[in-house]
Amino acid sequence: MGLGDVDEQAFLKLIRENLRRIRWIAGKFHSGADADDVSQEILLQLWRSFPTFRGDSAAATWVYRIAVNTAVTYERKHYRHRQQIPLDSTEELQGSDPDSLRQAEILKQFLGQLKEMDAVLLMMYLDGLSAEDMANVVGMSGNNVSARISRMKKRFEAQYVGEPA
Amino acid sequence: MKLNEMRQVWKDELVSETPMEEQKMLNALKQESASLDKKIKRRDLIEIGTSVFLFLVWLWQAFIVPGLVAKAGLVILMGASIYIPWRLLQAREAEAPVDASLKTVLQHEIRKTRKQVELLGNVTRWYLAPPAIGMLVFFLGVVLLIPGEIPLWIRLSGFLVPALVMLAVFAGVRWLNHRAVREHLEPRLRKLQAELARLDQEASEAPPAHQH
Repeated sequence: MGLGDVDEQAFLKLIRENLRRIRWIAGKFHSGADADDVSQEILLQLWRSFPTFRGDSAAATWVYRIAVNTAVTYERKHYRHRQQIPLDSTEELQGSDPDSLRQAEILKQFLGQLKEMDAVLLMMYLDGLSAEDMANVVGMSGNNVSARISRMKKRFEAQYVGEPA
Repeated sequence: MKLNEMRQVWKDELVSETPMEEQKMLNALKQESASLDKKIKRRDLIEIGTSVFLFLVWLWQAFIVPGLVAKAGLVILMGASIYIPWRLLQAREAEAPVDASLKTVLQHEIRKTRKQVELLGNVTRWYLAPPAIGMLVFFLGVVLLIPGEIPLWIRLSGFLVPALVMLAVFAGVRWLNHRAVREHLEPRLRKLQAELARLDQEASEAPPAHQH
């Protein structure tokens, strides 16, 4: 694979914009050291596939595809000595004021309750991806994706009724 | 509170407050990627290099060792040194594009894992038996070549001792391969199949009552 002519700045921009998304996905499918390992594996796959990314799909959709595929098919390799890829260490909730911190807590709590694939769908929904793009990532029909989002919306509203927006 | 209202929260959540060590990360990625490429090249080189080396050794031996039986053993060994890497190459599957749909990637991984199960599960047939037969014929040929009147038990032990040592080594190799199938590949295959089944089941669930 020819990686000599990778546009490093474009790649770094992509990672800057998606690193926490990657961490969320890895953390949803795996826990502890495995989640870190999966995050690193996703970064490696992105780096190796970046030269062939032609922008046919939005960068976020492409990242979701690679991240989900890598997280689902991840295989722990005890024997493999991996070069440690430095990632940001924070997994703390963001938010500068109590309200936004509370909302971030609610979102984290809700994402934590969902099954892996539903959580990924929700992340993509919050990112504003179309039902068709989401369907392409997870391999479901667009209708099915819409049904799931609709169900999650209802569940969320029922669960957090009365919470301030 | 509505889910739509969480979009900004999610957006904020994606902004890391910790700056990335970008150059370090890039260097690590380059190194890791290069080491992966090197590993693949080394594997190919070892597989093909070993087979070429062994083929030449057996060929050379076939010219200098007298006796038809020993020569026949060496010819079998030459065949084995070509057949084994050919089977390995044949079983190797091109990687699925990592940005294909999840279903495609899962189907590919299942196919690949099944091939590995089949390969390691039948290691006796394609990996151990051909050189074992060649070696046994060769040992027999060498024992038959020993000149003079020597007791049968010496001739027999000249054949049996190396044959038993070889068979013990091969039995160990077979056990290791079967253990890898049992403890590693079969659980992985079951996990991948379960993921695919779950995906198929989720995909075939009732169509929506509401569109988002």
